[in-house]
Amino acid sequence: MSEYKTIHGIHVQALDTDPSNLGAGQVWYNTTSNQLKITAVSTSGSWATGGNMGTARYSLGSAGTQTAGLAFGGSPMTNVTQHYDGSAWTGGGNMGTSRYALAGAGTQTTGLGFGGYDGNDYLNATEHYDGSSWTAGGNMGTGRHYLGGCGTQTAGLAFGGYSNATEHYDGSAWTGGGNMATSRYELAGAGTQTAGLVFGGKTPSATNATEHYDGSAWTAGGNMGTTRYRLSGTGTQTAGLAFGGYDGSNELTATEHYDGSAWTSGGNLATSRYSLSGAGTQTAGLAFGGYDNPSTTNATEEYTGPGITTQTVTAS
Amino acid sequence: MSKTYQYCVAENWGKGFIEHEDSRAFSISSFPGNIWRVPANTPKANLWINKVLGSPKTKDEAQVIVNGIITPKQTTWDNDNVADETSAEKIIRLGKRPTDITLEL
Repeated sequence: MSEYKTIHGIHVQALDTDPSNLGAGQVWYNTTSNQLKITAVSTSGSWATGGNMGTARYSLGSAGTQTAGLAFGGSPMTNVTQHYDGSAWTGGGNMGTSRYALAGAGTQTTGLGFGGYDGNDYLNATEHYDGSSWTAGGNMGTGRHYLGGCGTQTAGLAFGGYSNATEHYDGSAWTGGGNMATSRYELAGAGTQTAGLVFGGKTPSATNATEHYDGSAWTAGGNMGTTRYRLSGTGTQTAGLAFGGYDGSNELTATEHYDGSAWTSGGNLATSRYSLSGAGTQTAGLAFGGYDNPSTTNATEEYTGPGITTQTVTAS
Repeated sequence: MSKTYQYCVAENWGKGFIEHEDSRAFSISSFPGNIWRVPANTPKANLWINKVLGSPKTKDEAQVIVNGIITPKQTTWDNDNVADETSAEKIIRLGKRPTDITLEL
């Protein structure tokens, strides 16, 4: 039997931990796990389970990143906030107003929650999060639910929600922006106040349409491959991520990547669901909560986009 | 007929239950009752079932577990009625009726 050194002229490295800077074609032996490992190129991305949420819920708000995520509100009606650290959820401060079908923006320590439904009214109320407690912000001009949101606590964007209206937030007050071409709800959004992205939703029929926002007007983008609503999204206008949702018959696992003009397929969620929420980026995304027939789920999944990955060599 | 899928019962403990290396190597799908479906005759899928301490189930056994979760919820939904409420209003109040799930061989 030939040895690796005979073929390649070099030994396989013996490492007690996997290398952090991966390159194509690397081979090493992990002396801790006693596994031979290699790098490979993943072309579609993949989801892995993360820590389960303490409170299963759907139609919740979200903000942050894969390693500093924020979940707040949702149904069954709650004002509970939870923080994600990349492996587990812990409790945060409660929102002032319990609500679901709200939108979120910002980060785990500078979060923004706005709109939604409290069981009686479609809300225009905004709240700011500082990492431990929520305080009231300025009210939107239009109370609405199942809307989209993106941006930051001091440069937020609200759009849609049984409407085509857009509003800009400056940290204290909302002002009107350009209207979307398509009035929609149960949509997803991503990006910033001056480079926003909306995709999917109901018009009231389900749509796969995408629109780009430039800070004053919306223009058409490429259509998603899967028409859906009650999906989630994250990322930016030129690196967006869409996942989960409902097509009118089934909860979905499908993930799609956006490059600023077209959507392509990514890896599937393990848990199909709609009315889920998400955070992060196209290459480091986070999905949590939602409805997975016949129950609300507390499952979290973490996305790694296409790129160089580690694989364990197994003998069969 | 050869099997396309195999099923097991395993509780999703969170981080590490499914790793990227698992989901890149084979498809993993969840169903009610902590039922997980992975491809049959796939060594890495077999290793994953071992890793998560999965209890293997036949498709029919898994279907019984799935039905045991869904049927009571359908019954609860069917029996939760408000006078003069339309079907559309009921869906708004309760969400859509839980639907049947048929597992594949």
